[in-house]
Amino acid sequence: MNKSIEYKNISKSFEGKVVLDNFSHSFESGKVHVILGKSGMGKSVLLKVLMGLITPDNGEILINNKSLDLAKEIDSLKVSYVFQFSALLNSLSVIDNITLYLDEKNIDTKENRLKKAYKILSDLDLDHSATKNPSELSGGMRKRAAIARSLMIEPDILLYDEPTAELDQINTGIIANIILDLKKAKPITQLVVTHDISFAFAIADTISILEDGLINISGKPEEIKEINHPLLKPIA
Amino acid sequence: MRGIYNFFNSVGLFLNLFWQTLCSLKFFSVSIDKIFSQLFDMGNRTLPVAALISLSIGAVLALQTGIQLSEYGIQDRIGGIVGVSLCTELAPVMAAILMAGRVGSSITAEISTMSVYEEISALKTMDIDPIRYLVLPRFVACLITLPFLVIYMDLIGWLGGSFVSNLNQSISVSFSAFYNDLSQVVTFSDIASGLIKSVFFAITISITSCLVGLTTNGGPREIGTSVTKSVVASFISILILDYILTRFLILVGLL
Repeated sequence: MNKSIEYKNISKSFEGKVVLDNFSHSFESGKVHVILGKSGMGKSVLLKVLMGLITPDNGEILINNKSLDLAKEIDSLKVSYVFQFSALLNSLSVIDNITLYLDEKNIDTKENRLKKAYKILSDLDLDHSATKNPSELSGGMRKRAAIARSLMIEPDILLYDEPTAELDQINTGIIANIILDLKKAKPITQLVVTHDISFAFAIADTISILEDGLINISGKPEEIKEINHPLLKPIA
Repeated sequence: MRGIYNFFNSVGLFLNLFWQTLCSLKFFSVSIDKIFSQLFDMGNRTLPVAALISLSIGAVLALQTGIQLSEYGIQDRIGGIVGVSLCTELAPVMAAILMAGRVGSSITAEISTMSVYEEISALKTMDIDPIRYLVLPRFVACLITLPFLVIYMDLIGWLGGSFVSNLNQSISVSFSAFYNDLSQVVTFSDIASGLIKSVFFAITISITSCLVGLTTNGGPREIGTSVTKSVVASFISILILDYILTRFLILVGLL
């Protein structure tokens, strides 16, 4: 089921520095939403608040008009997160990283878990690296492995924190294709924060620009292109 | 003032993590694999060095004490002195210090690396409790390893003491005389008191090492700082706890 996301009056400060100030914004379900902004504007904080990794000072997040906790409890909402630097567990092989969630929750048989993991790895062209340690993978492969791990949860909402950070053009293209393929294949709401403008325009259904803890500009990519915003100068 | 606040804050965090680890013991059965892996790792890291340390301590203790005793012609009492010193004090404290240095530092390095590289956050996003996944296996393994290590060090230390007592011309006590005196002097409560100490030391080392690792933030540089912090905190805690436990064990009549 598609899940719409609504941030409602979210505020967050770190040691007195206000990062999000009464932030309110809605993201439509089943689409790819990109949040653009300079570094330190609170883009990652937005995702971490939704993921539950950071508790906001005040405000709430509604999923299909239900509070986040209620949606998790009643609708079994699953939110997954692709970290900026992949955050794969280095003590485990790639395949063990991918099956970790199912292994720890003891979901399904070991054979089925592996079958499912290999299917996802194969879709992401990583099956040949399944037994390798994450440290043996290139940056692009690590990022794909992190996406594979997130997909094993079968998320309703998938969050990407700077998915193209430290990637070259080719790998950026691969990640963009994965996001677009996912949009076609599954009814997942995907929220991407990035400062890579070309990548944002390649994948987005909507683009929002975060400045000083607020989103003042938001719309379809073609609408955003029309706005003469200094952040978009490189593509003008 | 800041120092006092930090001290009580650390004690609070320690007790909180200890309590949460105790609560996660209900997942003991599903963590068996991880516990065995930790036991194997801890054994590998500590047994050879523990043998060397205890052999040396037993030998030096026998040498220093034996020569003094032989001046009064009571060198045949050496077995009891070496036996009691090792099992009530030297083996538990040395085993704990070894454990904090070899195992505690490694636990902190591993968990703080995971914290810095967001692996702990990744576990949380998968609804995997880091305490159950990371702390519980290390806590249980430490709790099993340290008492065994103490018995192992007791035995090797006694062996070292008996060799020196036998081979040193100034002492010259036979193996049978050494172990005969040892068996008459060393009681079950002496061995038990060493084991009781080791249980408290194991709790201190495992929780301190995991806590420092889990609360590490910042960049890779913080990993080294955390390891030093964890080892120093464990050493100080072991020494303070040793005094308190010794007082307590004397009070209850175990020593």
